[in-house]
Amino acid sequence: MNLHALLISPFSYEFMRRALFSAVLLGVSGGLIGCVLVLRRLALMGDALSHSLLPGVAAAWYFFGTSTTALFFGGLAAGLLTALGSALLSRMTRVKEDAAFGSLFIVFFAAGVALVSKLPSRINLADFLFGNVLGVSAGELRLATAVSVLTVLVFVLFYRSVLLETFDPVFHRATGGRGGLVHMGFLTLTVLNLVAAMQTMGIVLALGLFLLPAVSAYLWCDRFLTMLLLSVAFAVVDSALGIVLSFHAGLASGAAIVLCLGVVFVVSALFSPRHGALGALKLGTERRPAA
Amino acid sequence: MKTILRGLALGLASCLAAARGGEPGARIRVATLNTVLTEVARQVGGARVEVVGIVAPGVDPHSFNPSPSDVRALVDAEIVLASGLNMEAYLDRLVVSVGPRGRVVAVGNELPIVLDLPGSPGRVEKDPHWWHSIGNVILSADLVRREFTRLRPQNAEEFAANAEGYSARLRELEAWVSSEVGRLPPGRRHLVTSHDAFGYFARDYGFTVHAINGLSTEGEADARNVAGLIDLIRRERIGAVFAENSVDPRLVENLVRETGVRLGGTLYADGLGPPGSGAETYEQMYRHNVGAIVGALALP
Repeated sequence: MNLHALLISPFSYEFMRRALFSAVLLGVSGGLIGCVLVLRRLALMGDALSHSLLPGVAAAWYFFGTSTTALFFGGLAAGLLTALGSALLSRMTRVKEDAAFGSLFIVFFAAGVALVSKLPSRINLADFLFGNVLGVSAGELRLATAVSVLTVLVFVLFYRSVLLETFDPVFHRATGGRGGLVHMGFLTLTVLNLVAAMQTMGIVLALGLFLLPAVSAYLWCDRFLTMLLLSVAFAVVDSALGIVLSFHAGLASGAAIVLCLGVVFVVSALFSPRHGALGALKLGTERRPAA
Repeated sequence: MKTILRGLALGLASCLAAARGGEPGARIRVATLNTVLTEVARQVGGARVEVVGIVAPGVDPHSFNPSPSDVRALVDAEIVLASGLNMEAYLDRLVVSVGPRGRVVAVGNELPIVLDLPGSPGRVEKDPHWWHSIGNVILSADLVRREFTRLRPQNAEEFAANAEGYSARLRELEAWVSSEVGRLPPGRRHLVTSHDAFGYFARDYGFTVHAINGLSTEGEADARNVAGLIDLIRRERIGAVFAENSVDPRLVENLVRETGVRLGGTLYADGLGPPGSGAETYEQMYRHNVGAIVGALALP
């Protein structure tokens, strides 16, 4: 098989181009946002958020049927309530943000399950919200583009705020008073990205793109800017690789991309010279005789 | 003292009998896990049965979640009718844990000829969507008649007459379907759809099924398969593809966009439609599916 058949001809199909573009676009914003989430220890937010969308989706379905626009805004509303609600709770009570988030999302999820059991039909609503990277429509591609461009713009224009928000949120809050606003803005951007990614590409790929590139990059870099750039690079390259792999090997495409990201993560975790497991072992053996 | 005890024992026995609903005059309490079997049970049992359809129309039976009232209906039923052939993957566990009082009949497992899963010939897994063959539904009506007769032998003739009447209507339906499908030349009998549910229909009427997902609605599509479908649609000049009522239509819509093929309509793959859908009886469901398939594929 020559290089053309391997890498170019899969993209003679429109659905493959759409899959690639949506994964790359949301990979760029996911790679950026993921870095902040990892450093702020909010890495499990995406997973929690995916559950908290259910009541919004169920309500949207009840009023508007299986229109993907309605489902998107329903999910977005529920996600924003969860994220902003837990940020407020963590500010106004002694509960930390992760605990507040964990508590709110499970309450929202329970509300969603209860709501679904009262709906006249029990179709699998999540299936209709959570898309598949091979089924991306023109409208969803536009949504992905808009969300991705917005995210990149925010990171470029408010880089200093993002930096402070990531590394010293307490200081940021204490000095400017703008810290709360920045945090809320960042959470809104995150929820928007995650809901768009879940609707466009399905839950596995959305969560993978918002976590794995950032964690892998974290294992290689000590500077925030390099981490951001490396994370985006991982997301883009693995999206393309994963889609090509799923085309030739006949694997589920979202899962194939996540597996490529997973390989990068495992390799980074093992072999990164300064922060990897083998590096730590080597340092340990070298240190022992000295001690 | 003895008479009191005997009275108590008798009372207890009659309470138990009432709870089991097994007295000769009472209506048979039937619980069904398949919308087609709900109809078969009502048709065969007539006024002698009380049928609770646990999996409601429009619900995806592959990923159904029973509620407490569903489980109660299951426990209280004198007979439980299920699709079988692993359609209700949760059924075995549910039966073990709730212990229904009545017999659980997995209808698919009793049928004489069942198809292998596409792509896995000779393996133990079978295609559970047996009701897409009208002949199988006629067999299931006879099976249900036998079960009802065992529970209420005194109504045997009534059940037999009902089953015969229902089967006669199904044979009429079969004749109509044969003449409709006969309008399609064999080269046009390609059925491209969301998940692989129409194997029995395809066997009966000479179609080839090409599914985007696998046999269950929970499978995920892979890029090679979708690309292969696009090539196939172009090569064979397939006229139309079909969405399904309980599956996200986005992947099918992508096939339409990419190849310019016609979207032939929405098929009922996993059971009957909800009230008002125009597919709430088996006959309506079948006429809807065949009408959509033949209508779209017959167009030039």
